[in-house]
Amino acid sequence: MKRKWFNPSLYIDALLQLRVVGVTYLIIIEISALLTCISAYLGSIRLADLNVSREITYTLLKANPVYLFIVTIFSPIMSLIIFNFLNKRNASDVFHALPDRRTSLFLSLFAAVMSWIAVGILLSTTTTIIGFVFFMPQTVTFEFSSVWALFYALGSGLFTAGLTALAMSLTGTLFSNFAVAGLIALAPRLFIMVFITSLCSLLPILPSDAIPFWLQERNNPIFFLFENLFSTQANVSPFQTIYAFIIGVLYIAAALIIFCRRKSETADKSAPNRILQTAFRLIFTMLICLIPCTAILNTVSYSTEFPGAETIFGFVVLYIIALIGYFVYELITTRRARNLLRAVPALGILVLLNVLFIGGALTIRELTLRDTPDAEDIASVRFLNLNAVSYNKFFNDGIEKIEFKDREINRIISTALQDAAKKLRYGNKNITKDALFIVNIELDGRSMTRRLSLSYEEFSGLFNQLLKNDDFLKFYKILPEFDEVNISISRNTRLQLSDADLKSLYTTFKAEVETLDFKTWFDYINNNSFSGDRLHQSDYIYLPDELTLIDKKDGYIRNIPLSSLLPNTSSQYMKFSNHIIEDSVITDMRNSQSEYGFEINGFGFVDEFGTSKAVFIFVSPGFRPQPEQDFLNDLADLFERKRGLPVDINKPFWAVREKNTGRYFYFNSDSSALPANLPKGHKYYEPQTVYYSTTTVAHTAYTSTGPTITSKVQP
Amino acid sequence: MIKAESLTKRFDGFTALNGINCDIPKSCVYGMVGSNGAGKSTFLRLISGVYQPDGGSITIDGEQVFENPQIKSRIAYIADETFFLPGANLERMARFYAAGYKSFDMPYFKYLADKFNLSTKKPINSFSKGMKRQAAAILALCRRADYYLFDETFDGLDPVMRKTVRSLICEQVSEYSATAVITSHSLRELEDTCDQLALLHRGGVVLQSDVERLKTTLFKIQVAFNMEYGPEKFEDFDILNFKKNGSVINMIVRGDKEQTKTRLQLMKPILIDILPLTLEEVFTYEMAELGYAFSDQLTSGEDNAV
Repeated sequence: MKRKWFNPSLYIDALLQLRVVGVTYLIIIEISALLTCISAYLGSIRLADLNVSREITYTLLKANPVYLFIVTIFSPIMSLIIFNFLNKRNASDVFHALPDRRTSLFLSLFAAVMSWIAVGILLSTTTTIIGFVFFMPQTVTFEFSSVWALFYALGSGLFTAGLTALAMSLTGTLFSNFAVAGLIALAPRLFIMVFITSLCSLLPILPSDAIPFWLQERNNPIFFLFENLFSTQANVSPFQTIYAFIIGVLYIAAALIIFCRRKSETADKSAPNRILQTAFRLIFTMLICLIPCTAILNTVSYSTEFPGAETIFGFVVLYIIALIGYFVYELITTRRARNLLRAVPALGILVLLNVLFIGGALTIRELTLRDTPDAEDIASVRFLNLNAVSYNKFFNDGIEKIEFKDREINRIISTALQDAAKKLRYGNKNITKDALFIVNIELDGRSMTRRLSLSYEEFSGLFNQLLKNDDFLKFYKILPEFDEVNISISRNTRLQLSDADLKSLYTTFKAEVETLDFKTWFDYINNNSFSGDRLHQSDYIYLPDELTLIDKKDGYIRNIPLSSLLPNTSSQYMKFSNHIIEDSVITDMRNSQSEYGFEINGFGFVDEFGTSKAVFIFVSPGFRPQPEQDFLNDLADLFERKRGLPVDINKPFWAVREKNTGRYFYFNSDSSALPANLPKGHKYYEPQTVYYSTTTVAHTAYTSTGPTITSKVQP
Repeated sequence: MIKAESLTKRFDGFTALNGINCDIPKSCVYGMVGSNGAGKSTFLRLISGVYQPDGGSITIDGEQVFENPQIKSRIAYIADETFFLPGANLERMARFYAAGYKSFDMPYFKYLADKFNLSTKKPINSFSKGMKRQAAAILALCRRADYYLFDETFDGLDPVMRKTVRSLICEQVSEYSATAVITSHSLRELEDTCDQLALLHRGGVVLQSDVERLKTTLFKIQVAFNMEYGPEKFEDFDILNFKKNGSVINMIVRGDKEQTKTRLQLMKPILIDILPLTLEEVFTYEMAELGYAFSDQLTSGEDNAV
């Protein structure tokens, strides 16, 4: 039927209505694309000057991190402008008198908003791709996942514009547009998040991963935006994109239905009727009530005595604040003081909601603590996170695919769960022992996810059982082939290597990993002390960079530190690093008036007593006294002799960092003794014994803060 | 034809229109008068499809109006509060309406803009109130609609413009068989323009009639006799109001003027004079007959503006 769904003339007119804000949006988004291209180009010139030619891979968000922000801001603004007639009686009359069905009116206007948004996204993306691909000195490719980022931007626009249209269909004033939009966008997620977080606090055996992935805040475009604002590392998954689209479409569908049913006389009113006004007010106030609710839950769960007067007074104050918010909302939205009295009866519903929240959480707690299966009832387990605080995300993500069907493992898990539940039931929330992990337990027809803790001995027992599983061993030790991953050097120096060099490095690395015993490798990737971006020594001597592997198939990211555990790989890395050092650096070392400083690290030396020594020397720019200059001259001579020779990280060596470029160069010492002419102010790295949070082998960390030896509590 | 049957509209518990029945024939200028909050604007919004009735029905040529684009394309509605797109000029608004109404007559628009001496390029925000009303009237007339709904449109127009707009409306009605519904506070405003009139009060139509019939079937007679007489002498006449001042009687009589005059002359009065009534006077006496105080209807009433 003509004009039932869409009116092309009205659509074109709506495009014209939005032309001012639309053109502004296009200009801003284009400028952002151009500026990021120029910035990247200027950075890449420097790399080209180093005569490094290689392929660089970008994601769209990494190339232009701002455009998502611009889209998410302008979509609701355009929606607000085009549907602004819903807030004014005279305007509402004009639009509702038009010879169009409400459906056609809504869709034609909304399509105009999305057209502007889509054009901006396409223009910006095209500019970014052209700028990066055709104007960079290096060969640039974009990851396939960038397609998801493109659609995510569109989905994000759909989400925020649809949300705004929905809020405007429900309300008739600007303030209530914003208030209700905020409630719709954030309230459901906040309620769920706070409820689950409260539960996890009441039940430490529930991991934060208990939040279903489709409810996690990173999937909400607004949360995602502010979490990753201007982040150059942000990337979006297909799930996030589809999620944004689905929710956006749902918002639009809801907005359409309500728009069609909306009475024109709702314009200039905070809500179409008293029922909805009450609902909005209650939701708003309930958000405030989350604070006293969580406070009450914590007090009730972990206190064995009735709360004191001070505590109760605190709750009362919090609820008074909520009550004030309740009435203030009514006053501001309706602008009628007499409505405050009419709002009083609905307080009963608010009380009920609070009771449901608190009662619901306590009920779930009770039921969860009773749900502790015996070993015989467990069919299998999967470890979602073998090391709850490991920094190595890939291994934590991937291990969940391995299913363990072992009676002893079942027994250990069951005992740990029952012990933890017993402690919590008696009000003792300190259930953390030495090793934390998250496990998914499969029972008959259902499963549960729990966060458990074991002592060192218990975890060793568990680990020995895991070692009997071939899939487990293979998962950690077998690395993908070179063409199955994107490889780069990350963290400190971001050394740019050619494909050939990377392949050579990776081949060495793969071969070296295969020679390691499983436990050593497992400990290395789960419990190492790599603190990023500087050379340091703990269990091993760590170089300042990591090898980053991004699986091309599933996007998993692995970051492997380079250290003395991998001497061949480290040696090759150091060779590549030395290769790009310019002669001018050596000249600066010999120049006592040089404007550049140096950081000098020496590892693997021993003193006259045979004690291991590592030393740190900082040479500041400007004039150097002669003794200091003598030392630097000796180092420069040594480097020139050793240049081109392979560096053995397990023998005494020097690592020198030039402050101008930030790059390191490495060379072995001829002697294991430290030079006698070490400059004044040099510091020794002293060992400390530390325990990292999980599987608790004692570790040694070297710091240059002084000769203090400390240790944490022993198992 | 516009037909309202038991038409009801409520807002938050308040009944703005309560079971209205009225027929507005084709090719007529229908006036609707009433005090503030009587329901005039609500009625027009129901006819134009802006509001949906809560009870009864409103049809045009037998079809419901609400959510009926075919019918709505034949209606041009000017609200009491005009609205124009932000920053728009007259030309932009013309294009806006042309996008919605296929029958929009652009050459006629240019002609009227010129006739009213309104700039099509200047922002309408810079127009005076009267000029905005003129602009709204032009944009409505250019839609070449079958039904024109003017809600207190003449308010804010100077007498010359009022006359101009009136003539344009009449032109549409007479030449294009359009129907116009005009609401106003003022009967005098409507007297010269409308064929039919209705009085709306507190959500109900209390009186509606053909203007000509109203004016001709109700008249004032001044009569005097040289003998004593009282109201009983005139029992055969349909008298709405009887006042005797000395020997002269002023009567408001309903009926055929000529027949009434002839009958009175047979009674051999010494004075007989038939005087026309203004519409206001007609309404006053008709309403009094119905038990309403007409002056109250037009000058007071609850502020139930919707």
